[in-house]
Amino acid sequence: MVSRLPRAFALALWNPTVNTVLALDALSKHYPAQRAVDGISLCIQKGEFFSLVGPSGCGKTTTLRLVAGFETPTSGDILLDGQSVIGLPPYQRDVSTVFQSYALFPHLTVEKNVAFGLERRRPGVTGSEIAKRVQGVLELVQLSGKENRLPQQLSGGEKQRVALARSLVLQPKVLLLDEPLSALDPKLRKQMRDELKKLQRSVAITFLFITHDEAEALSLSDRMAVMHRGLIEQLGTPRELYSQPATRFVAEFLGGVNWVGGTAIRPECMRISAAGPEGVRCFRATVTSATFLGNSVQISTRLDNGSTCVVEASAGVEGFRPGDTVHVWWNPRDEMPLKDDGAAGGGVES
Amino acid sequence: MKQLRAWFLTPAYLVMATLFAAPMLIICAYSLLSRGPYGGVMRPWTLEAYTRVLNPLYAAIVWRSVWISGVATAACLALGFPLALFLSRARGRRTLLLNLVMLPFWTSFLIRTYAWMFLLRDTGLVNTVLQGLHVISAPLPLLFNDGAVILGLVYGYLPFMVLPLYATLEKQDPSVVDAAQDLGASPWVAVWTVVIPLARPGMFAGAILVFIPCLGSYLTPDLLGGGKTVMIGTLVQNQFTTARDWPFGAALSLLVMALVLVFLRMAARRQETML
Repeated sequence: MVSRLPRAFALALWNPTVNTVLALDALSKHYPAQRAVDGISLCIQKGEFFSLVGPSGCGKTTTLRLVAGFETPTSGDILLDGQSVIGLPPYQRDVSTVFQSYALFPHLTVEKNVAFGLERRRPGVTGSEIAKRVQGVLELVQLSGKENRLPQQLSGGEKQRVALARSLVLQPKVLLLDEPLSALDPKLRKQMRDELKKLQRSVAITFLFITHDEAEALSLSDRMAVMHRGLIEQLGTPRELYSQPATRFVAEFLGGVNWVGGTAIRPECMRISAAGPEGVRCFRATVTSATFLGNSVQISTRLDNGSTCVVEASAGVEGFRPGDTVHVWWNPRDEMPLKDDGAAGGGVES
Repeated sequence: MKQLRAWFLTPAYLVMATLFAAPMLIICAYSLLSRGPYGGVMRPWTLEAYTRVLNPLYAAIVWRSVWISGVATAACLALGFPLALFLSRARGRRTLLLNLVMLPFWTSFLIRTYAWMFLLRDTGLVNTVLQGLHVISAPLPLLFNDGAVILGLVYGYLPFMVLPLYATLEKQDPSVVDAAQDLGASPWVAVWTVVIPLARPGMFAGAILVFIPCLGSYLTPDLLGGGKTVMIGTLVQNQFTTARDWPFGAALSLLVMALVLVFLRMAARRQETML
């Protein structure tokens, strides 16, 4: 695994440059019963949308709380713009958090919620300037006209926007987002996902986004890191991680994986037909089930050698029924450079 | 179904009628009658008891009861808030600590008040120790004054402040305090701007629960005030015993009730405007 490579190689990955806004250096947080974060290093560039993704308990939320200052690291360093922030309380770190539960102040109006940080963090900003900036950011998140509402009078999506506005108005060096979309219903979540990306582009603030949802991370991030058991399993662009996962865990966390004859292949890269073309990468199989998913059909098959294989075909493909004999094949170019090492361990979601 | 409902409610109605409504009516009637020569009441009907309440001598006692109760309530709030905040944030030992708050209720209030007398009197523990250490040469006047009464009231009613405060603080989302700190508030500022405003319903409930029994208290001012510090409770008791003026005692009792209702109304109004 990448994170367990020799120190020299790890250092090569960890090379702060002038563009680095946030750097974690061998950051650890050990609890008596658990090593929540076990020596992770990474650099986040200015203006980047960076995601930490992993199953629950992988250490991603602890990492965020370490950066925000709510937890004290056991060892390691956190550099914000080149300055160590270890020992600084949350209210003296130039980062801001969007909490999973939003954590809006229920006794304050939308306007006062958003002004709260400006009044305390930016002592140079006067009353009229505060009002102007609050108006500006509320316009940005499309909440103009709701200034005097109380949080309990807002919908889930609106609360989410207030939480975002409250942090954005400070223009922090890094905006930390702790599963901000998980409390929304699925439809709204997808809509907010698109808005979040647009917003990040327009404000040009660095986002550190925490999520357990691989689809969110893949679709939003410039770069992302998959965490597992307190370690970074792999770091790179979403495309790199999805098509060239370094470990079985990453491959299976980010999508479906078929293991056929010792090679790993994504279900959507597989082809299926009644009579397959001749070649080494073609296998005879029996259909065990076919599920129509709207934009695609998921066909489960059992190969003649006994292993199972899932094919995700476009919805237009001819209908296969359980019991049909078919052929599955793929382009060798789509194979993932992975060994079937069984190293994934427990807790794999696919 | 409806009949069953009536049957189940009957005991409650009976209790309220015999133990609440009837005594209230009797007190109202007594307050409008004349005093009998050896206690008790007799005709004719008169408003004399109520006109005596306005006498500056008695008005002063009423005012004194109000400010002593007010000071005791404020002291309970000042002491109870940090305690309740601590309790609400203590994770593992919370049940034990809450039980400790309620532990004094296991002993009679009378006995606990006597215990304070033994601590505070001239030959009591506090004065003996201080004299033994040569901090003071003569005993401090700790007992039989306003301070002793307020101390006793705070001691007796502090749990009534702590428990409702604890209930509201415990319900607070701890991430709201995190958010305040994240947005630049130091822990003190976070308490002042977020925790206290959100705890207001608990503060009002606690203040009402402390203020009302303080206003009508009799035992504490009588024992720790030594009869010098007269509050309404003591005055009412005097009317029914030594003074043998039942109509006036009844009128005073109704006055306390009226005061309490006024304060409750004000508190309710405050809370409405806040929400």
